[in-house]
Amino acid sequence: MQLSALIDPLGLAPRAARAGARVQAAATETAGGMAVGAARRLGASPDVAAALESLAGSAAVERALRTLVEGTLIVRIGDRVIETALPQRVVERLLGEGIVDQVVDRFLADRTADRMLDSVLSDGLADRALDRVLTDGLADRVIERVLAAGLAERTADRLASGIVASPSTEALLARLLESVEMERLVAQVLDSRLVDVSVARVLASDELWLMVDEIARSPAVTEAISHQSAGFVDQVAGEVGVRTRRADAMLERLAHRMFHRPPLDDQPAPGTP
Amino acid sequence: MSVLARRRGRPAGLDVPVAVIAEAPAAVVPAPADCIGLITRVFAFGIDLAVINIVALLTSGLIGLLYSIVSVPDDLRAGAIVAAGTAYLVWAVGYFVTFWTTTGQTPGNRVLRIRVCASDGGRLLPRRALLRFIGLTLAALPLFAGFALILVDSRRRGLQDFIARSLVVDAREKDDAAGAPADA
Repeated sequence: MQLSALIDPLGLAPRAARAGARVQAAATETAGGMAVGAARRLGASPDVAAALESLAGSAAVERALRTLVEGTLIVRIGDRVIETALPQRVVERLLGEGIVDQVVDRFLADRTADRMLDSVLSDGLADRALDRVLTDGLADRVIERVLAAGLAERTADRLASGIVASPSTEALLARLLESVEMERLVAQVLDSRLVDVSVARVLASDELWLMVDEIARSPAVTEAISHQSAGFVDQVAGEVGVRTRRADAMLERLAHRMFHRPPLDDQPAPGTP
Repeated sequence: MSVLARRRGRPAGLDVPVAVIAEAPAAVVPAPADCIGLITRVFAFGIDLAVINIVALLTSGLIGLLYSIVSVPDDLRAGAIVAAGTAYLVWAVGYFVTFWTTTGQTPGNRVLRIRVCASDGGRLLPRRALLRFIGLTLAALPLFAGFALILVDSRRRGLQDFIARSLVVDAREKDDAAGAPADA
């Protein structure tokens, strides 16, 4: 008798596990729907737009942003985040488990993003916020601080060494390159007039033919060609010489046998110099 | 007194090694194993004949082209034919004699890496080269029987070689040494 039959004679454990999975899926679905619905309602609400507008225009927000930018807090936080490799782990997790795909699909399917974007753009909130940021020199200060602290370089290095070199990125790239869509895209590019025109322009350029002339006249190329030609002629002549000498030896042996003469002891070894 | 000393009229006590006396490098007498057989020589001769006849054909074609625009009297036609025949003979004789007496190698010999030399290994003199050409013609007259001697002679000499006291030897070692780099 099996141990599982002793512990769970009614087979409740697998059923419980399946039920748990179904509950988890339902909960995830419900939570996602609620989140999207809330976002939709928020985006459509005029109160939210007014609140955002008043926030963007308030002096308190401006002072808080200035303090953040002029202080070293952002740089320290950025350094700390980079040192812990948190962004890399988050990106790998999001990409690896397909969470980003699911969220984006759901978000786009509900057209919530479109409605939020329409709402923001129609009220002119985005334009006003952007004007404010640009005219106050806030963007300039942010960029200067980021560049002065070397945050951009460190982020780029981390991204290059972390995300680009990660197995997930490699797998994603491999899947992309092996996909039918990519093949079709490349075929379209090759069939397009762009390639023909580019090749025609390259062939019509004087620089290309100057370069070809230079290569053809280079001592290395001419020496290689002449060496190869001479080598071939020598090889053919040498081979013919070896064969005729071999035929000489055979013919002489035959003649000596016919005339009952002793064979020459000093016959040259055929093919030997 | 040694033979060498007697020849030079020197006392025996002044004998010195031959290698020290000899200023010019003596020609090495080719060993019988270095002599070349019939088939290789026929191939080389065939290449030479091709070269001779191609040049003669091109020349005669050029002369014929010139004659086509100039009307030649019939009396001169026979003379022109004799002159052309003589020129062909001179060209063929000059071809062989020049190459045999200079490098010892005609272009055909060069391809097959063989060399014509005197029986003592030295360079063939012009007179002997001329004799060799005559011997070559004589050897071909009795259905090429003069060349059959090459098959049975210990130094692979044909009638022309007996007449001119010449040998045809392997030139592969010499060519390889000449083609090798100076520091090799």
